[in-house]
Amino acid sequence: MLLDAFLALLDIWVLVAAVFGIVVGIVIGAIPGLGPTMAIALLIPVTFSMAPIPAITLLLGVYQGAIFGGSISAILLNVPGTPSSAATAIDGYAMARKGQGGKALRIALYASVFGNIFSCLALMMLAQPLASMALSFGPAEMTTLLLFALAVIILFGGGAKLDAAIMVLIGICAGIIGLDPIAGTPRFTFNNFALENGFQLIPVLVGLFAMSEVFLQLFNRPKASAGAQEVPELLPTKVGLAEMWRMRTTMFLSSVIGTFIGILPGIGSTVPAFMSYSLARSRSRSRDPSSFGKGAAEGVAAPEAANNAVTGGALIPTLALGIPGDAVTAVILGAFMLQGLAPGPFLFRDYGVEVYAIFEALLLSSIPCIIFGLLLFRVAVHVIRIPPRHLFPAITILALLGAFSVNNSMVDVWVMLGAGIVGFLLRRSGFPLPPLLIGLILGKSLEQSLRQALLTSGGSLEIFVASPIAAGFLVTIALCVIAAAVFHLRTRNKSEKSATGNV
Amino acid sequence: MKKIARILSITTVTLSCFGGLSGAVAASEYPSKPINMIVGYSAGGGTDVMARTIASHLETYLGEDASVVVRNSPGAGGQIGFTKVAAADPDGYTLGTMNLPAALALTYDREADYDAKSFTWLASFVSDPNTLVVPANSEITSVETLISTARENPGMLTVGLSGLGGNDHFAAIQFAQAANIELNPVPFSGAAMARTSIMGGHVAMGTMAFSQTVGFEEDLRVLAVFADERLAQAPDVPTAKELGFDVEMGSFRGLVAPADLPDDIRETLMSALLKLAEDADFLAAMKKQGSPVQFTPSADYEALAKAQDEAAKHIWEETPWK
Repeated sequence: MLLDAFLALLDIWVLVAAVFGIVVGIVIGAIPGLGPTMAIALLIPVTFSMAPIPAITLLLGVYQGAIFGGSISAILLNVPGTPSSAATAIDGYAMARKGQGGKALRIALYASVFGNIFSCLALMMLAQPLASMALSFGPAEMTTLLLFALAVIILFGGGAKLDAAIMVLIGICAGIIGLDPIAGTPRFTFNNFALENGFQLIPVLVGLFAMSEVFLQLFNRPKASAGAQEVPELLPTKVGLAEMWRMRTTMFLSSVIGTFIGILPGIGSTVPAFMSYSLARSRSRSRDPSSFGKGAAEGVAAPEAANNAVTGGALIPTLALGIPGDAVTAVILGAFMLQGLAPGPFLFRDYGVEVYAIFEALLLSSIPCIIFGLLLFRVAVHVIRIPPRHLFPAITILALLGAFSVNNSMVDVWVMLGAGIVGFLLRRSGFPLPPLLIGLILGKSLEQSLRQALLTSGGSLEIFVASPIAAGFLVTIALCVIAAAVFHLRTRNKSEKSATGNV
Repeated sequence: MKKIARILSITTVTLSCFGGLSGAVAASEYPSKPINMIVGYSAGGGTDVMARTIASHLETYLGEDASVVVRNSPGAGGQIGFTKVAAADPDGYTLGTMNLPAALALTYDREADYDAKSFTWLASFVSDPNTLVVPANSEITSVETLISTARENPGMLTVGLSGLGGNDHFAAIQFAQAANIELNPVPFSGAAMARTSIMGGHVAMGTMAFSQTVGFEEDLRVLAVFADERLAQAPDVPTAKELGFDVEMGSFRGLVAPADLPDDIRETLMSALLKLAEDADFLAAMKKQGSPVQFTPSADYEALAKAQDEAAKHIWEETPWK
């Protein structure tokens, strides 16, 4: 089967599709506000007349390319192209400011490829058993998993835990706007039809990260002109194999997180990116505590490995159960159906060759991804030398365009500008933005799962203890809180001791 | 007398020739430019796939140079696309896909610029009846046991729905009324999510459309279909009507044009659609997509739309979903 599938790939059109998809994906993904969903939606009509294997290879290539493209703008401009690359921006942009933008991009590329290969192998070997895992996640299990994800972001995301908790709560509250997920009542929509679906993620993302950066620069004018003088030098970008090898555990764990969370529908790639960033940060704390947030290579590698590993993971329930994990897999699911490959347990049995050929194409497209990624970033890296007063008007235009193009709606543009102002105020006051984003992404799912679980149990909380998975997550949350508290007390004692020692 | 008869017959022949000629002129005039087929959902979805299949096959029956272009206008649950079709000129160059009951149900829960009278109902292609479905390992093995379980724990038997105001929601309400039981509806975001929760046993039952159960036979048990007769794909599954519950609900996908479409254009389109309905290639392509094909032309389609409209109105008045 695997060999048959491989032979099916030996077609010039598959290669053309992969290369075309990756290049287009990188270019579109690098433009702030135009993420992988947009790139795939733009290209899907192109694939209508193509044979199934090249068509889906093209779409997966676009997806992979766009994810990497998103990290280009995240690293070089601090403007994440996709929500998940917001995690990459933290250390990636810090590296770029130090002139290591090229190095950060290389690490991002290699880690992406690693995550992709890892999840692809998991997909090929474990698709069937892992699909049944998705079945055991009902509303109660989802609720506790989402709580666990929020706890990880708050406890291990870095910075003050109270700040992070406040941001998560604001994000969850923002998620209340729109239709009630159970009763369908409009909430805080002010009779505005466009608000019924709640805040769209892309306008909020672009506003929070890109527009707020523009506002920050606007109000920092004296500093910005001084900054223009000190354009960072482009340091050599070489990344040795040894350096990547040093990060093997981080990349491996991040890929596991990405694949696992990708299997669970509706969570997407942002949460695993931040979870693995937090994990990498807390693991390295003993060795290199302060480097995270200031340009740690592992801070780039971890989220990139994780958000690329999501692809393979998310394809498992998409193909085996017909549940798309996010907007991107939803479009890919549509492409499968258009090609007459109906998803479901029998997909693997009836269309084994096509399915495995597509997996192998995803695996092998890492090669053109590296080649074109390296070629394109050589050009992109010079963006860092453009003075801000030339760069930021362009970012503003792209942000407006990106927000508008999601639904061709002006409401999204206002949401984007509003999010920009909120983001600006919060950043000036020193609050971290990623927890806000995570709160917004997960808030709605959390509310829906919680209320679904309580509906099924007739209002009894017992349902969260009765299921072993849910109970397991609750115990893990408790352990995490205890661990964080103990760690906090220990470091405080230590720092107090060292402080008194200095005196 | 003979002369008069000859003159008369000649006149008749000439007239009929003219008549035929004018008909031929109209037919050759339409279509003289590309026909737009508006789809209210994004590219790659079930309705879009159907539209593209119809479009490519319809071209052959509309004449040599005919071209049918699918245009996606997604957003607001299809409302943007439906509104575009309703507002277009009835010149035959704007057609649209129609989803029942969704398109008409949403005219009750929000402001909409169209209703059932805004369209010329051409033909329905897909009829996908709702079902009563439980997990394969469920203790509920028949509609009877389902009803007795529901009566034992009133309001506790959970039904997984794809959302509110959709055909499965309507089916659940209608069945609960017909069987005089109280169910506990749990809405999910999308049919696939609801199905997964049913398969995993997190909710007790579902009322999903039949096509959603295809391919998941090992994990799901279909107890009844809400159609007027048994399905060819599942001849062992009884209809709700056979069991004594007068419930008929499903999701119907078809083709409409704006209201007041001129008769000659309508006839051209209908004759092409009737030929399409017998095209083996087309039927095979539709079947491959997993949609139960059932061709329901003009008048019957309009009656179906009116019935669905009434059902949605009735449910909205009794149990508003928003």
